[in-house]
Amino acid sequence: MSNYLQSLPSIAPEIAMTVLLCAVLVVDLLLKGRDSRKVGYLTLGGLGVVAWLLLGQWGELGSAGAAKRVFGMIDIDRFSTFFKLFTVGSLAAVVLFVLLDRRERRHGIGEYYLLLLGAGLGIFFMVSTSNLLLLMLGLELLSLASYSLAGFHKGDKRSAEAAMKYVVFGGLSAGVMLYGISLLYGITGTIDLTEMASGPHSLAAQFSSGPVPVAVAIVLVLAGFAYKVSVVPFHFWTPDVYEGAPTPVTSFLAVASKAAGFAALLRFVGKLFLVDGADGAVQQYGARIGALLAILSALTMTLGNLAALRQSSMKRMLAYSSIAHAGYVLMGMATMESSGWNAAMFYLAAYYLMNLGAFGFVLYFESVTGSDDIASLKGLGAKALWVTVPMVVFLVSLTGLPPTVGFTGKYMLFVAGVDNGLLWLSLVMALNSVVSLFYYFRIVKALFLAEPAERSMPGQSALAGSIFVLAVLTVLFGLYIAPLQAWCDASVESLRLGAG
Amino acid sequence: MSLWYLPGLPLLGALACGLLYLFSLPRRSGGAHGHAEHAHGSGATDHGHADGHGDDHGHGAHAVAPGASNPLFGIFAIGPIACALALAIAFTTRLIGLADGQRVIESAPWHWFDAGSYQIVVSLLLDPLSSTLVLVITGVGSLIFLYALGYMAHDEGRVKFFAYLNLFVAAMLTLVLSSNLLGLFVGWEGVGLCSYLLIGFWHRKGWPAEAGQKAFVVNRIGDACFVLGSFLLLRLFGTLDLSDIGAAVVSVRERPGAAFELALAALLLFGGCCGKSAQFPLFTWLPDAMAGPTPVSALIHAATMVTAGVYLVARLAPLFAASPAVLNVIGVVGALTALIGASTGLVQRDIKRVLAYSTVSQLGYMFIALGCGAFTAAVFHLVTHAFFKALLFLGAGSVIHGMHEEQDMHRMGGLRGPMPRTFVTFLCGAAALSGLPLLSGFFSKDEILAHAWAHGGIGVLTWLIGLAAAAMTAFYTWRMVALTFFGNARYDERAHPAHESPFTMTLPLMVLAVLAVLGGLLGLPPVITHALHVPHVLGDWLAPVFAPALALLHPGGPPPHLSAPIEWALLGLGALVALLFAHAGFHAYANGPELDGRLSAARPAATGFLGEAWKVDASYVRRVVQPIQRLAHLIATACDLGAIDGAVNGAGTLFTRVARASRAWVDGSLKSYSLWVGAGAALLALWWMFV
Amino acid sequence: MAETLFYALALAAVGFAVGVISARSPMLSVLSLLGAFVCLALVYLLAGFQFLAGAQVLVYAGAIMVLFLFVVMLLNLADLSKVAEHPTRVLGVHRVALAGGSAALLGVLALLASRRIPDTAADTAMLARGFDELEPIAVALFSRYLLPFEAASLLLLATMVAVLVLAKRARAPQGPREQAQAVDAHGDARGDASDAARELEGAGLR
Repeated sequence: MSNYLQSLPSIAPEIAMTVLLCAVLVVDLLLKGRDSRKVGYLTLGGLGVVAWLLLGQWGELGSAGAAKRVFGMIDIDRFSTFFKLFTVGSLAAVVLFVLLDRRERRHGIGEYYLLLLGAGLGIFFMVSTSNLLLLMLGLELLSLASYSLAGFHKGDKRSAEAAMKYVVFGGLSAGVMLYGISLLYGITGTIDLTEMASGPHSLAAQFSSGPVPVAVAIVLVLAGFAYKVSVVPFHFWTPDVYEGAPTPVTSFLAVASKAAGFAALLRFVGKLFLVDGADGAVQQYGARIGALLAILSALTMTLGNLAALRQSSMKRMLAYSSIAHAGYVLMGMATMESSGWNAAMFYLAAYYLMNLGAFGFVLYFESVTGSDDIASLKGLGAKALWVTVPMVVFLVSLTGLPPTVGFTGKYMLFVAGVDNGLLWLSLVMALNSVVSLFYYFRIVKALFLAEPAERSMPGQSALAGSIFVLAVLTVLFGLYIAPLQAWCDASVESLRLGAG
Repeated sequence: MSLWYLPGLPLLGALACGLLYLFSLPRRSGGAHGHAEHAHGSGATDHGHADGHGDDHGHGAHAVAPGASNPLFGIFAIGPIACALALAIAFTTRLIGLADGQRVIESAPWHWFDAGSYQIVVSLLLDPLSSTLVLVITGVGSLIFLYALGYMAHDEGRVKFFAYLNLFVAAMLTLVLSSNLLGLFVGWEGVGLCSYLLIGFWHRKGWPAEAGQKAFVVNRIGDACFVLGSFLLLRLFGTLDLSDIGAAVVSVRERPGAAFELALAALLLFGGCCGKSAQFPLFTWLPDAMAGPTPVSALIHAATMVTAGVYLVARLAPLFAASPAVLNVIGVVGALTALIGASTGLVQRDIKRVLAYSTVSQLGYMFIALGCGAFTAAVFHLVTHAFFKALLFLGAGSVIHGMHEEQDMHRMGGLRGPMPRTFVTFLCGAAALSGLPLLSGFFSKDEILAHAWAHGGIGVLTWLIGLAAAAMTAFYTWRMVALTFFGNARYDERAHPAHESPFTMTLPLMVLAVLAVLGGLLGLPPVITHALHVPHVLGDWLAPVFAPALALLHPGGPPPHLSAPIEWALLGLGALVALLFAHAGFHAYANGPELDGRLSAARPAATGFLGEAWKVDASYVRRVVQPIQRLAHLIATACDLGAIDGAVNGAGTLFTRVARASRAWVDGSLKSYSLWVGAGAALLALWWMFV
Repeated sequence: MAETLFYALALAAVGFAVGVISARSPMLSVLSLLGAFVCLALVYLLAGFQFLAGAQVLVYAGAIMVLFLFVVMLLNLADLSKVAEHPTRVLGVHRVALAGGSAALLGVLALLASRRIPDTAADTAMLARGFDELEPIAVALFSRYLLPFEAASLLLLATMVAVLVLAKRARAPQGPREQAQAVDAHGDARGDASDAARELEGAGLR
C-alpha cells in the first residue's frame, strides 16, 4: 500500500484533473446553472495548473531513462507527458472556443466543461497505460463523454444524429476491440503489453506456434484503434459526427481525441512490435504489421482526399481532411523505424496546431454567416484579415507547403518513407498533397477571389486573437523546429525504453 | 551580439511596418462598434479613390495613408536599418581587430531540419567580403531610406512601402551573410520577391505591375539555372557550405570527369547571376524595373540587389577560378553587356532609363573584371558604383520630384537654377560615373581595364570594348547633365514651377556626393600607391578572401604587375577618353535636345536599334514570348482545363458517383457502417493470414 | 450434466442476444438483454464463480438502469411504435455479410478452441484457492487494480452526467441557435408524426 502512496505524486496531473472535474461539478451545482462562463474560467484555470504540473513532470523526466511505471500500469514517460501536454493545450483551446462561441448559451451549460474534462481524463489514461484494461477504461471514458458532447445541442437534428451515430458506431467498435483484447488475453494470459511482449507466453512465441489467432486478435484491436483515429474503412462516422457536433466539440474530436487514439496505437504497436533486439519472430510480425499499416495509410489518405474534393461544408471537408491526415501519420508508423515514428509524432504535433486553428476559423465564420458552407465565405477575405490570413496559413500548412509546420512534418514523413523502403507510399503521399491543394484552396479562393460581400463582420477579438496565436505558432514551428523535434524524438525514445 | 541581428532587425522593421499598415487599413465595414453605416461610407470613398485617382499616386495629399500618422511609423521605418548600420560598423571594427587571415565571425547555426539523411543548417558568416557588402547595403541603404521618407511623403501606401523596403534589406543581408548556398538562395529569392513587389508598387497604373511581372519572370530563368547549379554542386561536393566548396574545389577537380561538371555548375550559377545582375541576354527586365519608385531604383536596381550576381561569383571565386573557360564566358558576356548598355544609353529620353542602361553597362564592367580574375577590382567597382549610381538615381528622383513626376529629359532643362543642391551633387555623381580623373569611378574603372589589358588574350578584347563603353558612358552622362540642368527650361515654368526637394532628400545626396568623389581612395592604382606609399585599402582588406582563388588561377605564382609606363599610359588613355567624350556629350546637348531629332531623322534605323537596346527585347517577344504564350494557351485549354482540372474534378465526380452507386453499401445508415467495420476487419485478418 | 447445461445456457444467451438486436419493441429488446445477462450469470455459477455471478446480476441490473435511461429519455416511447411501422430493409449484401461474418467468427473460435490457453502462476494460485472467496478479489481490486477501479468510477460519473445532459428536458429556447431551431420546427409544414419518423431516419435508425 505504501508504495502506492509514494506513487501518488507521479500521477499528480491525473489527480489534479479529477479534482478539477469534481470542482466543476460542485461549482456548477452551486451556481444552479447560472452564468456557466464562470465554470469555463474555472476550467481554464484548472487546466493551467495541470499544464504546470505536467511541465514539471517533463522537466523531471530529463533523461529518457527516468521513465517509471506506477500502480503497475501507468507509464510516466516523456511520450505520455508529451501527449498530455498537448491534450491540455487543446482542451484549453476548446474551452476557449466554447466560451467565445457567440451562439452558445451562457447559462446551464456547466456540464459542457465537465464532459470535456472527463474526456481529457480518459485521454490521460489512454496515452499513459500499457495495461489493456485501463486503456479500455480510458477509451470508454473519452468515448462516452464525446458521445454526449456531440449531441450537446439537443434541439439540433444534426447534432442528435451525430450523437446517435457516434454512440452506436463507437459501441460497435469498442466491442470489436474488446473482443480482440479478450483474445489477446486468452492467447497470452496477460493484459499487460510489456508482459505480452516478453516472457514464455509472449505474443512472439504464440505467433510462431500458430499465427492465425494472434493475427485475428491484433487485427481486431487495430480495428478499434482505426475507428478512433478514423482510418479507412472504419471512418464512416467521421464526416457525419464532425458536421453535426457543435464546432468546439468537433475541434476536440478532430484534434485531441484523434491524437489520443494515435498515442494509444503508437504505444500498442511500439510495445509489441518495436522491441529492441527482437528475435526473428517479432521482426517478422513487426514487418507484417508495418505492411498492414502501409496499406491502411495509402487507402486512408487517398480516400480521405478524394472525398474531400467535393464537399461544400467546411466541417465536412475538414473531417475528410482529418481522415487523410490520419493516413499521413500512419505512413510514419508504417516504417516501423525510429525516424518514421519521430516524423509521425512531429506530424501529430503539427496536426494539433493547424487543425485547432482551422476549426477556430470555422467557428468564427459560423458565428458570422450562420453556416459552415464554403460558398457563404465568398468575398469575406478582406473583411477580417486577422482571421483570414491565419486561415490561409493553416491551409498552407495542411497542404504541406513551406514555411509552415505542416511542410516540415510532411517533409520528415517523406524522408522517413524514402529512407525505409516505402518509396511508393511517399509518392502516394506527395500525390495526395497535390490533390489536397485543390480543396484547401477552394476556401482561399472563396475568401479572396470573389467579389467582396456586403455583409458586415462583427469583431470577435478574443477568438481572432487565439486563432492568430495558433497561426504564429504554425509558422514559428515550421521555421524553428529544433525544440519541437527534440520533444518528439525524446518521446519516441522513451517509448522504446519504456519502463518495465 | 549575434550576427542574426543584422538581417533580424530589418525583418522586425518589415513586420512592424506591415502590421502597422494592416492595423490601420480603413475598415470597409465594421459592425463591431455599431458604425457599420459610417464605415461603409469610408469604404466607398476608398473604392472611388482607387478608380478616380489611380493614376495620380504622387500628390494625393488628401488621401489617407494608413498608418503613416502613427508616431511610431518613423521609428519602424528608419530605426532598424540605422541600427543595422551601427551594428555593421561595430562588427567590421571587430573584424579589423582580428588577425590578418583569420577575419571571420560566424553566428550560431540554425538547424532547420535534421530530417533523416539530410540536414539543413543555416548560419551566418562575416568576412571581409561580406562585411564590405554589408556596409554598402546598410550605409547606402540608410541614406536611401532617409531620402525615401521625403520622396514618399505624399504616397498613401508609404507604410507598406517601408515594410517592403525593410524586408528587402533583411533579404539582402541574408544573401550576403549566409554561409551556405541554401541560405544565400533564400536571400536571393527574397530580394527577387521584394524587387517584384516594389517595381509593381504603383500597380494601379498598370504598366508597373507588368514591369514587375517581367522582372520576376526573367529572373526565374536565371533562378532556375541557379538551382540547377546548386544541385550539381551538392552532388559534386556533398555540401552547400560556401567555404567548404571553396576549400574542396582542388580535390574535386582531380576526380575523373569532374572538371566538366565543375565548369557546368559554374556556368549554371553564372546563369543565375545573369538574371539577377542583368547581364546579356537577361538584362531586359532592368530598364523596365524603373517603373518602381525612384528610391527603389537607387537601392535595389542600382546599388545592392543587382550586384548580387557579382557577389556570388566573388564568393565562389575558387569554383570559377577552377574553370577558366567559364571565366572567359563571363568576361565576354560582361563586355557585351557593357557595350549594349552604354550604346543604348546614348539615345534614351527618360532620365531613369538612361541611368538604368548605365547600370546595365556598369554591371557589365564588374563582370569583365570577374572574367579576368580581378575579383578585388569587381568588388571595388561594385562599391564605387553603389555610391555614384545611388547618388545619380536619387538626384534624378529629386529632379522628377521637383518636376512633378516628369521623367522626359526633353521636357526639362535649366534646372541648375531652381535646384542648386540637386545640381551640384548630381554633377559629382555624373563626373564619377563618366570616369573623370581622380573621382571614384575613374579609379575603379581604370583598375578593371588595366586588369583586362594585363590578362591578355580575350582580356584585350574586353579591354577594347570596355574602353569604347567608357567613351559612350562619358558621352551619355554629360548629355544627361546638359539636357537636365543646362539650356533653357522646356517646361511650363509658371504652371508647374520646379522646386528644390526637401532636406531629407538633399542630405543623402550630399553625403553620397562626398562618397562618390572620395570613394576612389579605397583603391588607388599601383603606380600611385607605390609612389605615395599608401595601401590599396580594399585590396589588402579582401586579399585573404581571394587568395585561394588567385592561387588556383595562377598556379605559378602571381602574375607580374604591369610596368609603370604602361600603367601610366592606360590611366592617361582612360582619362583622355573620358574627358574628350564628356566634353563632346555636354557640348552637343548644352543648348537643347535638337541633335536627337536630327539623328533620328538621319539614321532612323540606327537610333531605333539603339533606342530599343539592340532590339533584344523585341526579338524575345517575337521569338520566345509569343510562342510560349501560344503554347501556354494550348496547355491552359488542353492540359490544364482538360487534363488536370478534368482529372481532379473527374476524380471528385467519380468518387461522388461511386459513392452514389454504392448507396446500398454506404448509405449513411449504421447498418452499412457496421457492415464495413466487419468487412474491413475480416479483410485485414484475411490479408494477414493468406497474402 | 454440467456440460449439457453449459451448452444450453450458452445457446440461450446467444438467442437472447439475437433477440436484443432483432426485437422491434424496445421493451422486448431490453428484456432479452436481461435474459442474456442472466444466462451468463448462470454460466459463471456453473464454472464456480459465485461472486462473479452475483455481481453480474447486481451490477448489470444497475447498468441496465443506465441503459434504460438512455433509451427512454432519448426516444419517446410513443414515437417508437412508428419506427416499428417502417419496414427494415435487409439487402442481399447484408445477408451475405451476416453469413460471412458468422462463418468467419466460427472459424476463429474453432481455431482458438484447438489451442490451450496458458496458465500464469497467478492463475494457478487462484485456481487452487477457488473463486468464491471474496478476499482475493477484494485485495486485487484494491491493490493491483486500484487504478482501473477508480477510473471506472470516474467513467460512471461522466456517464451519469452525459446521460443527464442528453435527458434533461430542454428549457425554453434561450440562445439564438435554439430560437432558430424552434422557428425551423414551427415552419415545418409536415405533420408531427412524420417529423419524428424523419428524425429517427436521420439518426440512421432505419
